[in-house]
Amino acid sequence: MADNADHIDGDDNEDVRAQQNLIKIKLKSSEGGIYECGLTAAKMSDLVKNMVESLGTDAVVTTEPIILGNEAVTDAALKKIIEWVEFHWDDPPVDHDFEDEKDRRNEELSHWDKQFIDVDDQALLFDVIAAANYMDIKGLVEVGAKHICSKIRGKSCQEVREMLKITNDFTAEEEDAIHKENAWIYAKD
Amino acid sequence: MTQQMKHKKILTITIDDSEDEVEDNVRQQTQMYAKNSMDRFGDDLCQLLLSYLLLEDRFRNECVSKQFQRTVFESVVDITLNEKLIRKAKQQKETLSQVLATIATNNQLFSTFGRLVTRIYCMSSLVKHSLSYCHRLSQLRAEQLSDVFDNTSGQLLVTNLKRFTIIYYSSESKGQLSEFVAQNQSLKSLVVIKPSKNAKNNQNLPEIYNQLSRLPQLRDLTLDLYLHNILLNDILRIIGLNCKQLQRLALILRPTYFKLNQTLDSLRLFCRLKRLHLAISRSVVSRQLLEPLKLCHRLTHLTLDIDEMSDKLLTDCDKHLPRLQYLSIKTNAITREDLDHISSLPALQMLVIENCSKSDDLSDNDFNYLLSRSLKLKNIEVIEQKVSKFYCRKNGQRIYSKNSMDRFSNNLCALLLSYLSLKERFVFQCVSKRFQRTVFRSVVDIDIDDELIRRVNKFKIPLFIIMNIICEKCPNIESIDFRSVGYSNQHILELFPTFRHKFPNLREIYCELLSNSDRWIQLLAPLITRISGELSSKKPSLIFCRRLSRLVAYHMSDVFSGRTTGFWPELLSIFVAQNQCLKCLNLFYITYKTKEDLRELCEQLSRLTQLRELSLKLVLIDGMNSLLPALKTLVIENQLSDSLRDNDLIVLLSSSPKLKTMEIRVNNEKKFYSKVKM
Repeated sequence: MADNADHIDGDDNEDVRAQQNLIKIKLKSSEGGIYECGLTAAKMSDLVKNMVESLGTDAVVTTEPIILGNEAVTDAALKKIIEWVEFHWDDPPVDHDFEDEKDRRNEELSHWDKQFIDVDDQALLFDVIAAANYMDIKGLVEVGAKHICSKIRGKSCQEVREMLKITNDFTAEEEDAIHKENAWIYAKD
Repeated sequence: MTQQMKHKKILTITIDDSEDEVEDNVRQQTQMYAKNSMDRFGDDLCQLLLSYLLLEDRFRNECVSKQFQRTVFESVVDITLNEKLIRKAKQQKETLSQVLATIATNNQLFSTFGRLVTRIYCMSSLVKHSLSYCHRLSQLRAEQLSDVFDNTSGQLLVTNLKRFTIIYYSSESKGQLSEFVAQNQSLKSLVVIKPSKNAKNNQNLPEIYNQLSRLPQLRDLTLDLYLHNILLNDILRIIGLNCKQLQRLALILRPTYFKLNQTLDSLRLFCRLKRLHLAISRSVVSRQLLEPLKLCHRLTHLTLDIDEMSDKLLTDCDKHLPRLQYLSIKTNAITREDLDHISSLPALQMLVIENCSKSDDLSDNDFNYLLSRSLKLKNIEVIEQKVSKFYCRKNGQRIYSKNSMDRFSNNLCALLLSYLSLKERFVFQCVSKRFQRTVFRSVVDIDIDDELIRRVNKFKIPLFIIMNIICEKCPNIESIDFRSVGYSNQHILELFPTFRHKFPNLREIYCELLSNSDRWIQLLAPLITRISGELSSKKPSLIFCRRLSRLVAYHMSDVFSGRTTGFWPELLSIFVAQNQCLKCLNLFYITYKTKEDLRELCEQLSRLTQLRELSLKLVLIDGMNSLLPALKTLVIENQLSDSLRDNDLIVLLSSSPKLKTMEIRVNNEKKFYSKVKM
């Protein structure tokens, strides 16, 4: 039917995306491990997307793997990232007309994402986040961010420092000054 | 895009050119030598490079090239003759070997060479009279004190020594010690390795230390002590009071009791002490013993070799040892808590940890974490079962352990923290300086209805004070939601224009019209993008709002002053012209009399090209919606249930290019129509 060109385009796009995801490209971690990933899924990373676009899809498929040189892209982190993009590549795109950025930010993570990001090894978790940030996968960074924020919610500064292994570079005096300044936020009901 | 690409291409070409040029130049200048050949270096540099060879290797490499032959010996300024070298030379029956052999065996030679001898490391007591020829001797190592006295005359053979090491000391030589001390006032370094084999029976030991304290020039002292019948503290007091120049002190303590109940309190007297080595073997060290370490504020190097370390030893070490650069700990077990304390040492650069027996559960991460937290720490050496493991700061930068959030950049940190609520941001700003810098950066919208602001409001803290605090912390605020400002707080909107400049990025305000609207609406109107709430009584204010993207009104006449009810196409036309950025319009009730009125309404609304969402309460007339080309959602509340046929609606749906969903409400029942995927 000719009634909605826009919509048919959308369907076509989805088909193309699905087709393209059958094409596998190789990604190489900073540790040297090489992993296969669907093209559409891999292109959720803006870094990979730009590389694929400047090299041409054919080149990427037939030649050397794409090297992800950042030290955070370890074998384990890359495996996790591929797991995530392979799960999420067919998510509907964000419609800015209707989905308020603020509402989206406040939305809770899906069950799958929660389980995915709940990694016991904090070093790996941070690798995944840093690597996703390096590869420019906004959705995955958001998942990491929401996870960290939900973990530190309601904790004291000291607990946060211990959990996230953050160095306290304030002197006791500086810290006291901030606490004094912020006394108003601790007002009891 | 293509332009960019072109630009890039040109750039790469020029870079290629310049590289070629450089390479050509290099080729012309150093035609003869390949880059990777050592021939490219001149004699001076070659000599410098080879100056680090051992004597033996110099001989071995002499015939590498003529340049080597020229340069390899140039840098030899001192020779160490050791047995291995001599033995080798002997095998070849070289003349050198004969000379060396004579030196080694014929002590007569000392009468001629003696003037030149400045250091003696190993000395046979049979040849000690040769010492008297060595007038310039400054360093000596002897087995016993009696070795430096003539056997027959009892005369002291060495004077004005600078460095002296004595391996055994026995108290019988008390008189000799006194003379030695008197004749060697210049002594700067003294090592007493084992005070006496039978020190346990010795009552006179303190006397030795009395004598030692008469060496005012002493800079470096090593004492090996059996702590039997000795009050260590007394010894230290005597030495500390008298040897004011002492900078380095090594104490090897051998307690004879299992428990060591002494104190090192007198360490406070060693005001110039910079390096301390403390070894206590086979004993449980009481807390009091090590407590006085906290008095040595000038220490730069500290080595602790103790079996059991008290938990509290390193507590607050950053305050007591502000200059400590080097710390070496050899102990049974080191805990994470200890590492925490170590990380706070402000000047520490090198840390050596030797875990003698039980290897704790400390992992690579713990040490990397330690590196990342300390200000100046560059190297950590961890020795376990004689195998060393090194952790170093990379490229002079701080390295961060993988499981520490410190590893993230400011930008990523700001992004990760952007999902916190306003209150949490205030709480967490003192987690670290980076948190303080980044936690507020991502705040772009403020809702006066925020839980934090609401709560504080209860405590009668004026809202504008809170707004002031917030705007100082959050420079990036783009939108403020004032909807929940009630009548009690409506003055904030009147005040707001006066401190609006504190929100340099503010672009949007979401508000309700209040009874004082006329006093602020003109000033804030350029920022207002959304209005909600009841409009009719304040509609004169609306005229100033030209940037509205969302409007919810009960009746079209609410939007215009003066008019009460009815349909006014000319007004609608003005409204449409002035609100071109409207994206969402929600009108609860539209009055119109004729089909033409409705057509007019639709025509006007269709000029709102940005409109994405429209909610109207009206009677459906065929084909109306085809006039709204950008419409995506349509809600129709229909009172005449039989006038609506599915077919009409499907035609409507297919004739509106962007319409995706329709919601038809008939007698409180909802019916949805949406475009089906083809």
